[in-house]
Amino acid sequence: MKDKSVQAVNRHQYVVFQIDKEEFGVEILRTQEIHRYTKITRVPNAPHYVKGVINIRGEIIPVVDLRQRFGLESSNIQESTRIITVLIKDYQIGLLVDNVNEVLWIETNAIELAPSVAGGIEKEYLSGVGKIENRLIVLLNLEKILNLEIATNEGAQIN
Amino acid sequence: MDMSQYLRMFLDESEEYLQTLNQSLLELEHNPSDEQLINNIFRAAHSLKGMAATMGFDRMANLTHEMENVLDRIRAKKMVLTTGIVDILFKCLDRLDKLVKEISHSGAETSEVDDIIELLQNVDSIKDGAASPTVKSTSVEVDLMDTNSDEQSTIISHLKTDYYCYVLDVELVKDCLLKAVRGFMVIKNLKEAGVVVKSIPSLKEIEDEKFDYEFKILYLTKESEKEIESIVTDITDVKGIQIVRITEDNLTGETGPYIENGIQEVAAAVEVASEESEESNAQLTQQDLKITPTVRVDIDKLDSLMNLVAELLINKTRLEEISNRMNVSNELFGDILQQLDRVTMNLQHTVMQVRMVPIERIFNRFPRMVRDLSKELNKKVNLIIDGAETELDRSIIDSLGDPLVHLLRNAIDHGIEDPETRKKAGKSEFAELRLSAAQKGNEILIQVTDDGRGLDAKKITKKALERGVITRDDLTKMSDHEKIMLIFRPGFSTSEVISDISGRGVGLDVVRKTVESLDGHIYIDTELGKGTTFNISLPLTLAITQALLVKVCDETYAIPLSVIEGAEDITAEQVQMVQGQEVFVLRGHLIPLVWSHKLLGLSIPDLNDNTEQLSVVVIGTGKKQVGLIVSELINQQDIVIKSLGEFLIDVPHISGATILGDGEVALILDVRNIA
Repeated sequence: MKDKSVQAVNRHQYVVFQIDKEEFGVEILRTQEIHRYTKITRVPNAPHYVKGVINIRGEIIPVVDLRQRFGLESSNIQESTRIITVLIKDYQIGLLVDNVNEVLWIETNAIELAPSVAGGIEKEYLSGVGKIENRLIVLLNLEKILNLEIATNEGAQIN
Repeated sequence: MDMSQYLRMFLDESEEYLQTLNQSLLELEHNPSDEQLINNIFRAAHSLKGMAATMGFDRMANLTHEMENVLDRIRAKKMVLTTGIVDILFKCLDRLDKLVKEISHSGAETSEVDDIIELLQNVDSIKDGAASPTVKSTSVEVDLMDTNSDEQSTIISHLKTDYYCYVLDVELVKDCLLKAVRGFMVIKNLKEAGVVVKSIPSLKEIEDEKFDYEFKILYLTKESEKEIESIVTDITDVKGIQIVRITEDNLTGETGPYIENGIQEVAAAVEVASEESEESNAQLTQQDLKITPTVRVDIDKLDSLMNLVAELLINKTRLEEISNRMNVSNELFGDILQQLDRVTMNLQHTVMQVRMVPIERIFNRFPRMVRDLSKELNKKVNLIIDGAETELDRSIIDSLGDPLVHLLRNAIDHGIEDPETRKKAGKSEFAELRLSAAQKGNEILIQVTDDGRGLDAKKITKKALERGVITRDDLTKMSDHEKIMLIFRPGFSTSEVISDISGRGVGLDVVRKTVESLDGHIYIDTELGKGTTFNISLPLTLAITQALLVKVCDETYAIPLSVIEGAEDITAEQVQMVQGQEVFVLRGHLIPLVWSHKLLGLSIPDLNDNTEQLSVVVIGTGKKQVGLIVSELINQQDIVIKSLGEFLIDVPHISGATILGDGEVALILDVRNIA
């Protein structure tokens, strides 16, 4: 078993959410709030996985549809659909997910290196896979997921 | 002692003093005999020295001290102000500026100042020559003579009643331990025998021990010089006193050779006061106005205040919307809403006012830049600044500096010809470069005008083709104005020789980007051989603006009113095709049409059932007009502009978002680049 202990603290809390049948986690320290689905205003000409923008207490926050980001079918809005706002490099981004399950402690040594593909998602977007009893929780690398695309996007938009 | 809380203040003030110094020095170069200007420079240099010394920045203090010495000689007419000296003084200011920047970055001075100090000292010895180097203190006499009108009238009235006027220079021994007490005693004893009009440093400063070992007093008394001397020297620790009497003769302008320059000024000041007291009063009041006390506020605090007001505005709008929807006809409720409306409006207005600063802030640094640049390029340029008092939102002003620098450099480097060429063309050797700002309705118009060679559309297109900025096909469709606008394209530079001043091919491109990021636009008027004007129009503020709400495919968008020239309902028959472009005729002008859903990449042209009728918003972009076809016009409303954040910053045709009364988000259309 290879350790992926990057930090000194040996366990972290993760917000665990669901997309399709797969469970994913983001570090709780990165998350701001969890919102029920609210109307999203679409932004024309934006990258395809940007569902649009929402208003949270006067702040305009872009919402990323993680399904589309991972190349899955776009989400059906259900009762359980949530928007998790996370803080990335000082600005907030909303993640559209099917369901938010719980908050879990995951031991650092229970996190394994990501396999090449997990839950249909390529390795580079993952920071590891957390194991809790029988469950496998795919931990996301938010910077990669959002940044990478920003870079290529900027290149394309200059005209 | 913890200085950190003063550091910020120190930095701010230093910057202001340096700006004053730069400005006054420039003016002084043109009017070397203007004593008022020399006094201004003195005061600023002196204050700077004092502040630097208090904060423990010795290099700054030393440098300003040497500078003061040079200025002192100029003021005392022991040295003639030459361009060489001005250059050295400017170098000195540049170094000071550098030091201030270093302090603001790292909290410490890193640049050496010895080289400049040496320059300053050399100026001293070379130019000073015959004059005896007796002047010890520096700005003291000048400040002493900076009497206000009350003081002047005191002097005049006393002189008429057998009083004598003296300038006393009291020096304490160096190891004096209780300077403040001794100083206080000197003044107290003098007061018993006459009137202390003024002292440098001020009485308060003397009591606070804020002086070196000497201070000066402007004194009125009936006693003789001997008497005064004994009053003062009786006090312990007083090393000596110099007394200079100001006589009637001096007052009428005849100055004896023994009299120091400072006293001439007193005479002059008094004379002015007696003969043209009104005028000098007016002058003095004007000066007073310039130094009205202000509170320095962190710009971040203003930003958050603005955000709060914006939030309040949004909620007010929501409340109004709810009241409309519920059809509440409660009188009280209506009253409260009206009150709320009034208060939020006033609040918004006031906050905006607070954020406004005169554009002077950035204009002030240009005379210096233009001077240096025109010298370097051997061009003769007369910079004229208009409307420096025009006010703009602070955040806009801060980002406007660089674009204007680019435009001015560009004008001097490319626009303005060298003096010979100008002569041959029958123009004055001195080129006129005009920088002006003015408010036009809800916009600010900033113009940079030169009377140089003007832009040549042919040369521009040739260059654009060479650089691959455009193709020949593009060219055939372009109007002259469009051809000229090519200079704003990335990678374009018309200069044959690429200099380090301009001509890196990035300048104008960046200028346009910056202006547009501020929600403004830029266009050019030019005439070959006559000159060029760059026009920049900007919104008054970035945060709140009036907008027209429209529907495009069932979604609401906002278009800022500043770009809208009108709204028209036209029928489908009015749409004509000209060269593959849909157009319609408005008051005799052909106006190209753009479908908003196509612009936004939306699929369904969701027109009303009545496709016969088209709603067109006429957008004015500089000189061009474009008709934007939308599904529906909704209404006009104050909107609070919000950024979409870095994540979506480059989305074409969308410049931001706003929150509507029902809490939904509407995107703001950026229509300046369409068509």
